[in-house]
Amino acid sequence: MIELLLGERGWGRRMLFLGCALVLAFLVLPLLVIVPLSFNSGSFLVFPLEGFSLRWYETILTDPRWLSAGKNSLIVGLSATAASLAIGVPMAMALSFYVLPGRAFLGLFAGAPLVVPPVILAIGLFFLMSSLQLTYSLPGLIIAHTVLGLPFVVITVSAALSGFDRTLLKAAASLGASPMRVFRTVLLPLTWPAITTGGLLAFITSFDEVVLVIFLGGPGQRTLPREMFDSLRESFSPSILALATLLTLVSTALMLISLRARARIEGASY
Amino acid sequence: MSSGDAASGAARRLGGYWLSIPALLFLTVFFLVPLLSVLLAAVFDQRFSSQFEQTTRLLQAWSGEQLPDEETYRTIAGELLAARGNKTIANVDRRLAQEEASLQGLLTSSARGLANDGLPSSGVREALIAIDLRWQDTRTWKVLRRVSDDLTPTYLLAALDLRRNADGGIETAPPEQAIYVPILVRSLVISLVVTLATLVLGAPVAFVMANVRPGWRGILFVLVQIPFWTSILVRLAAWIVLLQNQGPINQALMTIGLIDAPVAMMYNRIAVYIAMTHVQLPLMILPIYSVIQNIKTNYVRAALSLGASPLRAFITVYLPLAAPGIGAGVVLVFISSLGYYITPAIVGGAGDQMLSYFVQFHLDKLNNGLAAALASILILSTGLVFLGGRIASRLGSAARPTR
Repeated sequence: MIELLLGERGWGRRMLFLGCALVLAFLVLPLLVIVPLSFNSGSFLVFPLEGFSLRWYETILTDPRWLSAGKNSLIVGLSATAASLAIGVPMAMALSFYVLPGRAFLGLFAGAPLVVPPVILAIGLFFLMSSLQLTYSLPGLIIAHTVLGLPFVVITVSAALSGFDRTLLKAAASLGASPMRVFRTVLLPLTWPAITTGGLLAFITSFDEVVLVIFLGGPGQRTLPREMFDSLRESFSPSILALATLLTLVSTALMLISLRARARIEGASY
Repeated sequence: MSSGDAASGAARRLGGYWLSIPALLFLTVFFLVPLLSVLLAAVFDQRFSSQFEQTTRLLQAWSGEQLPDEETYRTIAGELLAARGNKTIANVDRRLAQEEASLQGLLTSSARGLANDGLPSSGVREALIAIDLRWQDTRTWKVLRRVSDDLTPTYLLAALDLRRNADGGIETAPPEQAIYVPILVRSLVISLVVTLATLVLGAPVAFVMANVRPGWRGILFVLVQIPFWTSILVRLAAWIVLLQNQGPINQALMTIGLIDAPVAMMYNRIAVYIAMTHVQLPLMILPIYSVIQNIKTNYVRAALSLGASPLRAFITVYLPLAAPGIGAGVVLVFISSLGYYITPAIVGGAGDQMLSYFVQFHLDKLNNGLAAALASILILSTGLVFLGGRIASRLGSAARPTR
């Protein structure tokens, strides 16, 4: 296509690739700038670097404030992921295995939390949680993050299941396997990559979520993004960059796992 | 299909619903209900009627021609003391002041006066007027009657810089108080600029991604996905470092002599545009990519072989085929930009905050009604853009020749 429209060589082609490279640099390079500064021994966020030091990592990893925030993030993230999977995977199966009237509407409904501005969801949940006495509590926050994680699970898993050959289930059942055993030995292994991807997306969504926690979290429910939001607004220090580097490592790892799972979804022959 | 299958069809359909019931229940309670409660809170306020039940009943029957009778004065005096007793009076006062700023503090100060002097056995009207002259104005009572309605347009009007005067007519707020329409306009402008910027930057990347060898495609895909997976706060931290006065960008520009003194690029609109474009870029690239990767070279080849110039083939053949992807990206980026809160709050200045910021601001100040009204305006604008996108894509696909 590129050759057709811009010729085999020449300026058009070169400009396109150069422009593309520049945009990609704009996309990725800013993330790299934080890494060297996080190892800087000086307290200022400027180049040139003064020397190598792990002091900012030490600050982050020993400060009770950040440790408790990390603990809260993990509790909320893992619980919200588990909840999203528990109710999202069955719904994805319903959407892909059954001819349901109103199926398109159900799919839209399940995806809707992704389109609604987070502030709207936050204020609405704030009203609801106030009447349920769940504001400023971990369960309230977990529920809120499940609303955001659920669409990822439903969309990812139902997309993967739509190509699933149901005769496999019938074959297993006709050979005498109980429904539970069919689920465990046939369905689960084949849909595992999609479930992994959906779960990872749900987790990272909760792990990075800022708006809902600002509205719904109290002093006892401060997560990493909540602490970071305040630090970025008030007291920016290189320790934030150390944390940012660690978080980037985590998200890159999660992304790579999901890309592998994705390759397995696409390569799988059901 | 065997007959057994057909017989179990109905049961299976039911089974399908069973599986989705937990998720549907969850979404109804924790997504749909909150959404509707925002819309409700924008027009519904019971603060007055729930504390001043008797007064509300008398006011609803009041003619409004002259001052209410002694009974009404006595009733409100009693309920003022009760509201002072259970400490809800400040909250009701706030409701009153939102309706009519000149009545600020009327209830609290009157209740205090009554508590000090004691409720007289007769002549409550005179006693209240002695405490606060505003009690002898019919307009005060008219505003009170309005406040006693649970259903109120006040907050929605305020969110559009409109208000009701004491006589109930709608008027525009004075220019120095008209702040929310400019904020809505600002939010729309910022979203539009970011949408255009991501389109200009993202479309070529999507084009290249869709048309290179699979190996390269994989690499590009990962590069585009990295920011997608990275915390928005990490990305904002990076931009603070880059854009600050002593940051590498300013240093580089000064080194090559383009500028003499650092240019302020943080805590202003430039920072908001740059950071938001950076955050939203993958959201533009991925929908476009997913559509144009399916465009077959044959169509373009055919156009070229019929004598069209490459530019003409691009515009008349390629772009119409790519339009659904571009439309999806534009709507997606515009809608999600409109609700932005974190990015302007961190890298923007006071004049760069968007609608969402003021929703949070007023909720923090316990102005639930106004916060909900601003949120409703945001829901409405988002819905309109979404609907507009759907209609445009419907029209577009109708205009396109069938394959």
